Amino acid sequence: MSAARKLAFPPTVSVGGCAVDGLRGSFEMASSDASRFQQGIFKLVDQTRFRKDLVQLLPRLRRFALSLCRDAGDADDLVQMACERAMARSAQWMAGTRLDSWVFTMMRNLWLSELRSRRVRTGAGQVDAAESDELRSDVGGEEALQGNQIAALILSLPEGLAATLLLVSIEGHSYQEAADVLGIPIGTVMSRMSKARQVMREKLATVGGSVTP
Amino acid sequence: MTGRIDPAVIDRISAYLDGALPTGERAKLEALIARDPAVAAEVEALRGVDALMARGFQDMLDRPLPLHLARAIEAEPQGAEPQGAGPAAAESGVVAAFPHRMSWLSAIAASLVLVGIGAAGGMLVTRALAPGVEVVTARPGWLDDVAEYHAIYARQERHLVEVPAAETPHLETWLADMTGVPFRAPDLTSMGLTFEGGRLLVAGGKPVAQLMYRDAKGGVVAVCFTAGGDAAAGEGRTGFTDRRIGAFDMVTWKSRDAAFVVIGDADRPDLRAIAEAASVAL
Repeated sequence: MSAARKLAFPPTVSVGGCAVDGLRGSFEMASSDASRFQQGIFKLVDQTRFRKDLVQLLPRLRRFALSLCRDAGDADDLVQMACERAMARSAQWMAGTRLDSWVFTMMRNLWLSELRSRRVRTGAGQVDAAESDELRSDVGGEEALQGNQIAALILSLPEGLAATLLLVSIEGHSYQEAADVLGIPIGTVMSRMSKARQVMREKLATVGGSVTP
Repeated sequence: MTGRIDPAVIDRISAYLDGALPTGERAKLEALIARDPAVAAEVEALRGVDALMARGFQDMLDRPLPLHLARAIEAEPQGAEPQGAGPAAAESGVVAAFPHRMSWLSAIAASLVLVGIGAAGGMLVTRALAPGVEVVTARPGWLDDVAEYHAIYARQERHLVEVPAAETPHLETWLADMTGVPFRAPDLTSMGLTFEGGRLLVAGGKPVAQLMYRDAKGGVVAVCFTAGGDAAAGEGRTGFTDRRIGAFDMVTWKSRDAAFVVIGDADRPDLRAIAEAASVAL
């Protein structure tokens, strides 16, 4: 507790006291939970912090949802369901572990059951990503590839590759952590990463993206 | 090009880029890269793919976030509304821009905006307003945040660090507590670097320790780390991965319990050597 209190925020971030409070919650939660509980701080405070942390995670949760569903509408629904579930189960979250991975895992479970029930309802799987409107961005030409064009290519990867790529390359999960979140063997993470890179390389080459950094 | 490289080698290159190869295999692959130009070219090509993909994922992060998502958290009945957040944000003057009831959640959103502005180009969080739409975007991985911080702090002559090197024992205890990563601040004098001290950052939503070093010419190099390692590292470390973000070069690696990065100006030729020395000392 004393360590957390001592924390002086960088002067450049000091505009408005509320800003500092907003962030302070996140590392108290990450690092000094044991001492906080010893001090007997109320559960209400935990709830508040938990929600704050969840709100801060939202953009990344949505990106993960997008990489899973590859459809913007589904992704938003999934984030909403996952946040509701996360709050309902916040007591089960092990403080000190990664909140993002915990919610990611929840999202993947929710998405799997959604896919299952869709197959039952319609006798078909998800909408083929290649047919979704969002992916019809006009890629190509002489200009440098735009971020949204590359995003469209990523979302048109075969199922499972985009989410694996995101977890490992961008979210900094190890192969084991990614395997845990996605519920697949570690070897599958490795082969998906390699496959994803090769397929992306081909896709980028077709649309004229230079693959030299 | 790819055709003449064994597919198994291609998979290993991919794992190598992710820092996921065990030490022995890593050394073998590095030897192969050194003697086979085709393999070296493949590594470079895949690094290029990675860089472009990062841009695509950044785009996904920057997309507007519909308000109802944030509201989903707000509307959840469990727990009570905290006191205090509303008035604090109300004083900031941002409230007027909100068409919605001033709730604790909008207060948080407003405070996030302030962080974005306050970070002066650091852009931890930014926000755009459109009718009925509220956008909260965060920078992606912790490495991007580390780069942003470095851009700000490496330029500070007098305020390079928060806790000076003279208080190293306190600094070590404090940062170890906050990050959950026990460590000793590495002595890098053999690399021509003087330890200046350190501070705590929040990067990628996690507490990150930042240790600052200065060379004879005034160049600043930081060693940063955060909890979350790679079990595969065992007692040692994963391979080094080189990255460039903006005007900075980085070398990253993981131990079993933590992720590390050494960051300095993009033209430094000695970053790998520094990373090597730091990884041993940490």
